[in-house]
Amino acid sequence: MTPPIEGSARKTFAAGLFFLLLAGAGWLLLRHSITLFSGNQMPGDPGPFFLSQLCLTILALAGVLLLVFGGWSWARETRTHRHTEAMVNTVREWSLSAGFVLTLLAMPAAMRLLGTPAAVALFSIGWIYVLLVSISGHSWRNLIEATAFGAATAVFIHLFFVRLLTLPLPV
Amino acid sequence: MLLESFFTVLADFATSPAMLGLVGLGAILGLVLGAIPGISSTMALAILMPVTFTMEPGVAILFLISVFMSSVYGGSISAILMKLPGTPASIFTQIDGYPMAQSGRAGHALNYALVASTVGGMVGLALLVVLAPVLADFATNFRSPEFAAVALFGIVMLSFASNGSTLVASVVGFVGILLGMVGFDALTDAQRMTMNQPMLQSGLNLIPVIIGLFGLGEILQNLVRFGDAPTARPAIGKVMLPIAELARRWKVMLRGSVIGTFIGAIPAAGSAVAVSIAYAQERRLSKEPETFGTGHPDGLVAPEAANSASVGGSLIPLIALGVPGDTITAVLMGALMVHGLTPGPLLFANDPTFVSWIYVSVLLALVATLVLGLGMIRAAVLVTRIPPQLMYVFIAVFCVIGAFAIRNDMNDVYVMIAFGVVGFVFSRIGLPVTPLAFGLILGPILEENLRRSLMISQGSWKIFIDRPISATLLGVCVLLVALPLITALLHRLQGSLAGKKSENIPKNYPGE
Repeated sequence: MTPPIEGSARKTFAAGLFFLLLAGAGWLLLRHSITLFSGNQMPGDPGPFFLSQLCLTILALAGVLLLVFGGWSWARETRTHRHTEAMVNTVREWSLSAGFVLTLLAMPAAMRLLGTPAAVALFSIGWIYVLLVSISGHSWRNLIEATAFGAATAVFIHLFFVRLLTLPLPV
Repeated sequence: MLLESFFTVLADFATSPAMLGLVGLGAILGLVLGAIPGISSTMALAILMPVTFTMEPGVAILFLISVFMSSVYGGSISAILMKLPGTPASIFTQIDGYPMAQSGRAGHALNYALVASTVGGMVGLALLVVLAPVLADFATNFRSPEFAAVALFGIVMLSFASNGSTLVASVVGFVGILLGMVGFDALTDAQRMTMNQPMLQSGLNLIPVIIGLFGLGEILQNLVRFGDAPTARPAIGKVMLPIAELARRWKVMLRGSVIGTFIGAIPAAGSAVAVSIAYAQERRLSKEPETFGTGHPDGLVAPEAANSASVGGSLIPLIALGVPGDTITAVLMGALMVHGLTPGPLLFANDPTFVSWIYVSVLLALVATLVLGLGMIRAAVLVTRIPPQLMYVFIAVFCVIGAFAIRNDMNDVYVMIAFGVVGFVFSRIGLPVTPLAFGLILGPILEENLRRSLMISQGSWKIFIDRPISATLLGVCVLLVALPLITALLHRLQGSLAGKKSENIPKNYPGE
C-alpha cells in the first residue's frame, strides 16, 4: 500500500509525528483551560471544549495511524548511503528559508530600536545581497545593487505606509 | 430591485473618476503581482489587503476584487512566458501556452488567454447574478443545524478537492478548526488554549494567519528552489489576433466558462478542479487531440476561460451562503469580515446595494483587466524579468508591515511569521495548507451553530438527521470522506481478482 502523503514514507512519518506533537501540545493547553472554567453552560450545550477535544482526538488518531504506517513503509524501503546525502541537501535547501525567518523574527525589535525605515533597509540590503551572492558570488556590483534596492524599499515603505497611510509604525 | 440597484451602482461608478482610477490601480497591481513567478492570486490579495484597512468597506472590496480578477489573468503571463504557473489553475494554461510562446507566438498566446479570461469572467458574472439570489433565497430557510452542516460540508469538500489524500486534508481541516477555537468562548466566556496570553484571548486574527500561510509561506518555499527557475526568455512575437480567429473559438470559450462557473460554485472545488475538467473535456471533443500539449490554442483557451469563470462561480456560495468557494474567496471573505461585513443570505435582504456593488466591481475589474491587459502585453514581459531576489525581499517587508497594520500590534507580526513557517513546513512535508485556512474560517461558524442546534434540541443529535438539508449535507460529507477508502478497497479487490485471472497478459499497455 502506498503511503498517503505524496507516496513518501518519510513525509507520511513526518506528518504523523507533527499531528501527534500538535495533539499533545493541544491537550496540555486545553487541560489548563478546563481547570480555569467555572462550568456554567446551557442545557444541551456540549460545552466550550467539546469541539476542541473532538479535533484533538481526531488529530491524535490520525497522527498515530500516519506514524505507524509511515514508519512501517520507511523500514521496508531499502536503505542506502543516499539518505545522508539527501539529509545534507535538505539542510542546505532549508538554510536560506531558516535564515530568512530568523531575521524576520528580529524585525519587530529592530523596528522599535532603529525605526522602521532603517530596519527595512538593513533587512532588504542584507537579504538582496545574500541572494545575489548565492547566484553569482561576491562582487562589489552585487553590494551596490543590494544597497540601492534596499534603500529604495525603505524609502517606499516610509513614504507609502508612514507618510501616505499614516500608520503608527515606529520611526 | 437588484437589477435596478445594479444599474444605479454602475452609473455611479462610471461617473466617478476616483472609483475608475482605483479599479485601474487594482487591475495594474493584480496584473503585475500575478505575472511575477511565485506570487499567486491568493498571495497578491493577502499582501494588498492591509492597504485597504483605511478605506471605506465598499471601496476596499472594489479594489480587492480588481486585484483578484486581474491577478487570475496575471498568473497566466508567467505560465505562458516562463512555464512558471503561479497557481495550480495555471498549470493547464502553460501546457499549451508555453509551447506557443516557445514557437514565437507568445503575443498570440497572451491575447488568447486574455480574451478567454474576459469571456469566462463575464459568463461567471452573469451566472453569479442569476444564481446567487436564488441560492440565497433558498438559504433563508437555513437554521443552526443547516449552517453547521454547510460549514462542515465546506471543509470536507475542500479536503476532497485537495491534491493527495482526502483523509489527510480533512485532518488538516480539523487543525484549522482547532485553531479557530483559540480565545474566549462567546457562549460561556471560557478561555480556550490561551495560555493566559492577552493577545490570544480574542482568538487568532485571520489576516496575519492568511498573510503568513499564503504570503510568507510561499516565499520561504520559493527560497528552497532559489536559482532553479529557467532563464531563457522567449520573443513575444505579434500581439494582436484577428477577430475572426478569436470568434472561431467561441464554443470552446463558452464550454470552458460554463464548466468553470459550475465547478467553481461547489464550495471548495476551486479553480484547479474546474480547469482540469475544462481541459480534459476540450481535448476529448477536439478533432486533433494529439496536438494538445504542443501549442494548440483550444488547450489554452478552455482552461483560461474556466479559470476566470470559476471566480464568479466561487463567489456564488460566498455571497449566498457565507461559505467561501476556494482559497482566494476565503481571503476575500476575511477582508469582508475585517470591514464588518458578513456575507450570507441576509446580505441580500439587508444590503442589496452592497451585493450590486460586488457585481459591478467584478464587471469593472474584468473590463479594466481586458483594456490594461491588452496594453500591457509587451510590458508583461518586463514584469517577468524582475529578479526574484528583489521581489521576495520586498514582499516579505510588505508582509511584516501588512501584519502590523491590522491592529498596529507587533504580536500580529509574530503570528504572521509563525504561520509562514507553518505554511512552509506543510508544503515541505506534503500537507495541504488551504484546509487549514478554511478550518480557521469555518470552525467558529461550525462550533457556534453545532452548539446552538444541540441547545435547541436539548442535547439530541437527531436534530441534524431530522432536518432534510442538514441530513443530506452530512450524508454527502460522510460519503466524501469514506469514498477514498471504499475506492482503495475496491481497487485492491479488483487487482487481486485480475491478478489471478490474467497472469499471462503483458503488463504494458500500447503507447505506454
